Amino acid sequence: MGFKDIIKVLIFLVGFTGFAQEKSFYIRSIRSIHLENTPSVMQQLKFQPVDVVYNKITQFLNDKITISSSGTFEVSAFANINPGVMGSSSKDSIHMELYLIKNPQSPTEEILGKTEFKFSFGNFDVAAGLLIAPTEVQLQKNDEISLWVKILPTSNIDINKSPKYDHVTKPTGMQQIAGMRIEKLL
Amino acid sequence: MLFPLVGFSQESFSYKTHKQQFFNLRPGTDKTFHYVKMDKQEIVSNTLFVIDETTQKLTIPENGYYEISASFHFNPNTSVIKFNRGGVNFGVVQIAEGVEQYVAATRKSFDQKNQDEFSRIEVYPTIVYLQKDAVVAPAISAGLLGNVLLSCEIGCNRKNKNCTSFSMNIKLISDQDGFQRYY
Repeated sequence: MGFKDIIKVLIFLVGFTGFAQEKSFYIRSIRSIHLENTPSVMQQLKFQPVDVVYNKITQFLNDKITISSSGTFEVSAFANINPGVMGSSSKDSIHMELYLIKNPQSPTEEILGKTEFKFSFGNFDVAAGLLIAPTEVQLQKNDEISLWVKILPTSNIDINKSPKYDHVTKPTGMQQIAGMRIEKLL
Repeated sequence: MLFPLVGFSQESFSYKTHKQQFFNLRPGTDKTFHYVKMDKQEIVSNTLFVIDETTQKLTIPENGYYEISASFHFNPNTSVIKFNRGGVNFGVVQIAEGVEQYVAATRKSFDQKNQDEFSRIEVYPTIVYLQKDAVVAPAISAGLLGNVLLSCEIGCNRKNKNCTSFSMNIKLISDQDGFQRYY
């Protein structure tokens, strides 16, 4: 290999590194989202195409996020939720769970990640971050990934029932609402 | 010999400390960012930012998609939250074109159960598009508070003085063109 060939290889490699891109997907909602006061019912936090920040590994069609090729992935998510009520006693509580789900409402449904949060008296009108920690999962091509909230029946007061109130929202002083990240590891 | 060249493709910055810092958070000051002081000695690795003896800020070197994560070990050190509002924000702020805003952040709501103990607050990996010359910095801010929180602390328990009180990782994951108005 002559000197020119070495230079060519170097230029190729440097060019290649310039295009190195991580195989990830990141989406966050730029709109606040309303929840219904329906304990025990799964409620999906839907994203829209405009919410996608970065996408090298999924397809986003008709509100569905599907995995483009099988492999090992790391998934995580968050939602900032404010029940929007005051409560009347220190015994009141609101319990919620946030879920990251594969293929919801199908035979291959699987909970990939889950977190629970208990709102207590004094903080029913304060947003709290519900976070699903990064978890390694196996996913197949065309698996659909989605984010859901459930109000647990152990709650003893209602969330804000106004149809105009959005519970998944920007906390005071920050603009993040809800988001999801998927990274292909292998 | 050529592999290190390829390895350079993912420029990153990693910071970790066990040091203690105190903050005073006041109700109604949610637009005030309290920046976490950083020490060059605590940088674990850096191939991303230009840092020399005179550097005071972390300046984004090129337009691109960045993945940001951070971890805060935080104690409100108070007894005043009780049944009052205790929303505090933690994250990484971008200062660009005169605007300060969190580009990656976590809301933590404290109550009577955790108002006087350390909690681990994670900002899990967040991908954002940042412009060249934007300054990034870790910060805490009052979110929605009922009472002033004096001497809130990033630090470690006495029993485990070498815990990670604060860490932050930033890596450039793509130099593809993009734009992001909302974070």
